Amino acid sequence: MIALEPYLDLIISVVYVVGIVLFLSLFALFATWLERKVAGHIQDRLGPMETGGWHGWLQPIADAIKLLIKEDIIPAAADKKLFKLAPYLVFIGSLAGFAVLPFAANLIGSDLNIGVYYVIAVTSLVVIGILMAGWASNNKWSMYGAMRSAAQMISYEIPVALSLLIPVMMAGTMSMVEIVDNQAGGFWNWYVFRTMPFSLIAFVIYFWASLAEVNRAPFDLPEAESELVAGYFTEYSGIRWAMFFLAEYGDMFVVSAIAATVFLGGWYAPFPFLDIIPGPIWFIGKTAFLVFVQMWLRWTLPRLRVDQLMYVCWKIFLPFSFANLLLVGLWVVLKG
Amino acid sequence: MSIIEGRFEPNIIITSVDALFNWSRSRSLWPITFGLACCAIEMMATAASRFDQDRLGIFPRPTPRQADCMIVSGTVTAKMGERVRRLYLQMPEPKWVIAMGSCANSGGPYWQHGYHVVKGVDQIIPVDVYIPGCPPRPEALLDGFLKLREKIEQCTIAKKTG
Amino acid sequence: MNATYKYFRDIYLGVTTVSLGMWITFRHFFMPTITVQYPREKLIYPPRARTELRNAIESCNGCLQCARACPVEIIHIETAKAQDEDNAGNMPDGKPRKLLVLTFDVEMSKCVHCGLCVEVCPTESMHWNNEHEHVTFTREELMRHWATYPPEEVRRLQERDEILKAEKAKQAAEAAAKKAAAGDQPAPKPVSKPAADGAEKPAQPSAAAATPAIEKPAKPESGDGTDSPQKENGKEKA
Ligand code: SF4
Ligand code: SF4
Ligand code: SF4
Repeated sequence: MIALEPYLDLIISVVYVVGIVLFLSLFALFATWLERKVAGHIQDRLGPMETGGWHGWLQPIADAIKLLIKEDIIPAAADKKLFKLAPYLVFIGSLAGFAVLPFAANLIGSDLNIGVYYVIAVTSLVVIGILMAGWASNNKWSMYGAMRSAAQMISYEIPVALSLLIPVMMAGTMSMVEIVDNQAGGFWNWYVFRTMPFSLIAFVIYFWASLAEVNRAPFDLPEAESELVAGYFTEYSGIRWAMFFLAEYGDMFVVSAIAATVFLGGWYAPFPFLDIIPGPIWFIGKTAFLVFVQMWLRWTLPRLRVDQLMYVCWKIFLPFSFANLLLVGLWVVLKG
Repeated sequence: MSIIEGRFEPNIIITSVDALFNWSRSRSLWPITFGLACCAIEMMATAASRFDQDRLGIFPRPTPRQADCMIVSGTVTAKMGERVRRLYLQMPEPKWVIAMGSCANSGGPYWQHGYHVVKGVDQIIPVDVYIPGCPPRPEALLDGFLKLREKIEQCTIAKKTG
Repeated sequence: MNATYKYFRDIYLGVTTVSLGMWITFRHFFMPTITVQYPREKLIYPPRARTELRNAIESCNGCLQCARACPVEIIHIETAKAQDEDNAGNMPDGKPRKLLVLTFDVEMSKCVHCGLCVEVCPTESMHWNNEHEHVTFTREELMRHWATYPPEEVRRLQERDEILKAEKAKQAAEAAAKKAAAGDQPAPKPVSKPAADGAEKPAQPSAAAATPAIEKPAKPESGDGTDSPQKENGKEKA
């Protein structure tokens, strides 16, 4: 009999990672279905209806199986190693974000004391994967998409980080669990409603900038269909493209989950008496709502131009974030 | 052909796997966003709210690499024929082609005097389904997809005998 | 000052228009959809909507108007004159059938759905049938054969027609010879008739060329519809 004690941590970690990957895949399947439904109903049509009886609920499964068994093309002129590596890197970047998401007080991969910082750092990994994909494809559309993506994600990292600093300042910690714990006891304690209006502005800026982080409309320039074919994954087919897709929906979940954690009270219910409903449900519910808002925005707004994108980032979000940060800092100092 | 095709003898497992694969392939036909002439307008109408091709899992993809089928919607000029063929070759297997409208079927109004028109897109790429009409109504296009489903459901991943 | 004003106005506009847009899409989210779920529900189009082209062959009198009207020349019709032995029956309007429609082929793959054949058809046998399920797997299937005669029957009837025509031509020639003998009379008319006849029936011009003086052969000609004025009359009568 091998003593399990020394390996217990490892086993738990592996189980947790497998669980997260499963969760991510299920979420991506559900999100593609939801996205098509949302798009359909916003445009007065129905979205998937035929596949699998009730409102086409088997549609994502059919899509997934089809993508799995599709031919896997690697262009002859591509840089083959990088081409194969890129989807995994993007996927890992989005998966790593899940490590610090507190689904509940003790359901968290790792309660790092630099949680917020870690998330900001690790989601930037996606940029490298995307640049790699764009470069390795040896295709001008891919390259354009990757360059745009890099420019946009790195620019928008700054407002994202500055906005996230506001709850961090108010909580006095970067640990996700402690930030959430500071918001216990009703929605009026959530950071989005404290120090009004600064934190609300911070929340809005974070949410919008995070849309650019995950390349969603109206900031979906890197994969703009009408100009760049399909952006950085133009050359990817079948399962490799599915990895990108998975990563995109994983990213959507991560940025929404971070918003839910640091601004919307994480696993706490809006009213204390509702706390009998388990924390993960609240957490996933809030995140899913934010994901829904992302989809809603996507099917409402047209795509921005590159210069407008940069204008919004550098001339609007950035000054407002700085002003916000200063004022909240002042508020914290005066109060403390 | 994709990785698993043509490696196994036909047997009971393969037939049930076939059923699953064919189900998924026929239920998730992604055409490449690609319109040539007036028929393309009707193709767009099919995607719009009234007929909503997304109901049937038809979801246009902008790049040939992620598409399963191609709707040749319109006049294939000799100049465009090259591109059509190239796009077709860029699509991953398994792939299907729908010839939409008289022009794609056989040159349509240009079949007599159209010196610049390919007289039927089946001269440059293999066509699975022909939809007559000028332009075909959205219903006809959807019917084309339904017929294509029937065709896909007869595919198998087993080795071809002989 | 102006730039500052513009800057804040842009932000204000950005926020308000985005909110407005989201409100609009939110409302549409709950509006009833307008989708027609095609394989299960079908739109009914008006009769003249260009859906699927069909020919009700039993009411077609073989007048060739549609073939002549077709801008892409894809309707191919062959007819033979009905004889007593055929028991051709009556047209739907009660008149006896004068022409047998041996072949009625439409190359549907080239049809431009212009509707001209439907417009001109005097018997309304060309029609749009309000269906859409005419998709095929091969191009050959798009060649529509609407006539019901088997090929050997078509050949037999055509040959019979040839023979009868040859006989008539002989008779006409004899009659013309007689007339020519009686009174010296050249025939200026024949030139125009063959031209109207077109290439459809190479055997006929010889008959038509000789006919003008005689009443009888002109009659089936009216059923044949060689002259459009004549046809117009036929349409009005129908
Ligand atoms: S078939 Fe008719 S509608 Fe379609 S492209 Fe040709 S001319 Fe245009
Ligand atoms: S509808 Fe078709 S068959 Fe009829 S005249 Fe026009 S092109 Fe010819
Ligand atoms: S016009 Fe009508 S009646 Fe005359 S040949 Fe054509 S289909 Fe028949």
